[in-house]
Amino acid sequence: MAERRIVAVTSCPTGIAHTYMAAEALSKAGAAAGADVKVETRGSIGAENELTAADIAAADAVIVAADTAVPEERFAGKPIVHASTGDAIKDAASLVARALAGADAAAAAGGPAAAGAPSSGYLDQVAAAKAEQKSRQKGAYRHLLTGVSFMIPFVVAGGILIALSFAFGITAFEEEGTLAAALFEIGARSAFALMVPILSGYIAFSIADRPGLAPGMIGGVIAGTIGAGFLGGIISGFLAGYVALWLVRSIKLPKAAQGLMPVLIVPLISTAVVGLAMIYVVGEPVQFINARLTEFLQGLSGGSALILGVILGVMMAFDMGGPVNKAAYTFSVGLLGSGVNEPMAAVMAAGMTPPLGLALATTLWPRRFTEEEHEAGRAAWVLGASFITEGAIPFAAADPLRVLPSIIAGSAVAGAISMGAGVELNAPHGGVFVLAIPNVLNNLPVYLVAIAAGTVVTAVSVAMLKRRVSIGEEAAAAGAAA
Amino acid sequence: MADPAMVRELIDIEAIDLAVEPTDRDGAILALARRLQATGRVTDAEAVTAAALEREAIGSTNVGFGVAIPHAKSDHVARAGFAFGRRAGGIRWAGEAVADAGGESTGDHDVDLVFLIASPAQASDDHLRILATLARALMHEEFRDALRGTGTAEETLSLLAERLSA
Repeated sequence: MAERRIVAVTSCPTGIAHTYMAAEALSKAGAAAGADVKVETRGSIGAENELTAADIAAADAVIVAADTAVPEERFAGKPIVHASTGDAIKDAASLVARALAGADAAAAAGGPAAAGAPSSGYLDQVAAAKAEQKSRQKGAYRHLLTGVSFMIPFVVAGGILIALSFAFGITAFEEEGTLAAALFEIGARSAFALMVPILSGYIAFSIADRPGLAPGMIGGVIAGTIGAGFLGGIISGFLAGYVALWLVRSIKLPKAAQGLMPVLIVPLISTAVVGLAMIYVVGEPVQFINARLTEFLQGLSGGSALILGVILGVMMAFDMGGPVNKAAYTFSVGLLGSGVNEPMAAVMAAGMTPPLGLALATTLWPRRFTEEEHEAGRAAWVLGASFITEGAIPFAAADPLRVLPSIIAGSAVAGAISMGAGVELNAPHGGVFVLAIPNVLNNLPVYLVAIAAGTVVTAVSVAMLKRRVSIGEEAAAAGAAA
Repeated sequence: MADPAMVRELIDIEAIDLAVEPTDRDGAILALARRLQATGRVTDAEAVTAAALEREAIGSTNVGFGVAIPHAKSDHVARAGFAFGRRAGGIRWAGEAVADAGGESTGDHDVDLVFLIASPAQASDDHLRILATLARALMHEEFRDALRGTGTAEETLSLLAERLSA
């Protein structure tokens, strides 16, 4: 029989002693019982040895030894033993025995998923889970969300101002000194220029607190300069956060020199490390990817229109402003000059569906999104309609593994329909603002079908993938199973 | 984890009392708090004692095995640290022991090893980690026995420095 796994959480009011004594006792008792025990301590240092989703998924049982409220909704479906830290210190062996007995009973009842009946009332648990919704967001996910929540106002304000500039005519902003040019300047060159630095900076801030902000924001600017897009910004944010954290924890200076740490040493070293890494380690492959993809697209352009449409769609949604997206966009814009206009149509449709699809999903399935995402969702209607794909970035950055596949699927559908039907577009931007202009687009009805289909595919995919995120839904599902 | 010097930043030899006089909980805590005040770690021993007793009221810090770990988080703590007190005859610890099942107590609810932990409202994570290591170490019988067996404060100090920096 495989070694059995238990995950545990310990927590006490002051978080100085009992939390750790209980953790040690559980580890000892687990080892004695031949079980693998991983204990997350929630003390005054913060949560340490945090349980990952993989740890919890692999666990046969859960022990919560706490004298304070500990969110338990992440353990839904696992047999849980509740105890005080005192119980764990006094008699950890019997807690471990109870947990293993619970695991056996669950296995006998048909696997851990069916054994959900937690020992506390289900409604209580749902209420507690809701109250703790914020703190349930663990580790990397929490840092991402912090970055995203600071980024959202920049995306919304910038995107809507750009859309407004299009209202004066899609090339009105090119005329210097006009209001349209001013709006575009504010939106595209200022607000959007700050978007990735803010994302990166506040991811780092969430990890390392103040020392993370400078290297994070600077790394984010570089992510923009080297064309690495928001995915590059996520990389620079995490890098900056952990580098700054490591420096703060590991550099020990004599007392007299300690004042230099926050103003000179940490910012200087962390910024240098992050900046150099972004330029040499991230920048080179980004350029390589961009160049190879452009060659790849050129090789495809004589072949099947449908396949090219799918590929352009996938690329547009893949990194929204990163090297893959840029390769698709510049490839299509380049072809406009030689009178080949189908790829441009496919690219614009595929660039509109990510925000539109997410906006639709927040409208139809509000409970699968956070309050902030509802706000971002309302703005995303305007941004998507204006072919400002960045409107999808807050969603994608907060939950890339669920959102990116969804928007890629929708954009691939939109690109395929548009290319397959031979729709031609000879304007490089503008969204719905250009559709009404005569001679810009050759087949409006099919184009609208392409955009609508991509939007629906994205909305439905993201709703399906995000199903388990909603607490209410989880409660209903578990209730039905019990 | 930490180096021995780091541990010594948390406890001074003057804060080790191998023959605590008071036989009751409140008296023992105050005696140890006074030792912390003598080395400048604590600015007001009475206030720190009050904070520790407040914590006792939430739940006894007698963790069984003859060990109590009263702790106070207070603005009257200048630098994080702890004091260690031992009393062979036992100290009466009010409130129910968390763990009497250990069978090592010197009497009903009596303790013979006391760690008074004092932490400022804002303690550094490094210090908190060492205190966490202390709490973990106390779960091991051989460490408790070693603490009971030291002959001098110096010996106790090097035992702590060695064990907590491991």
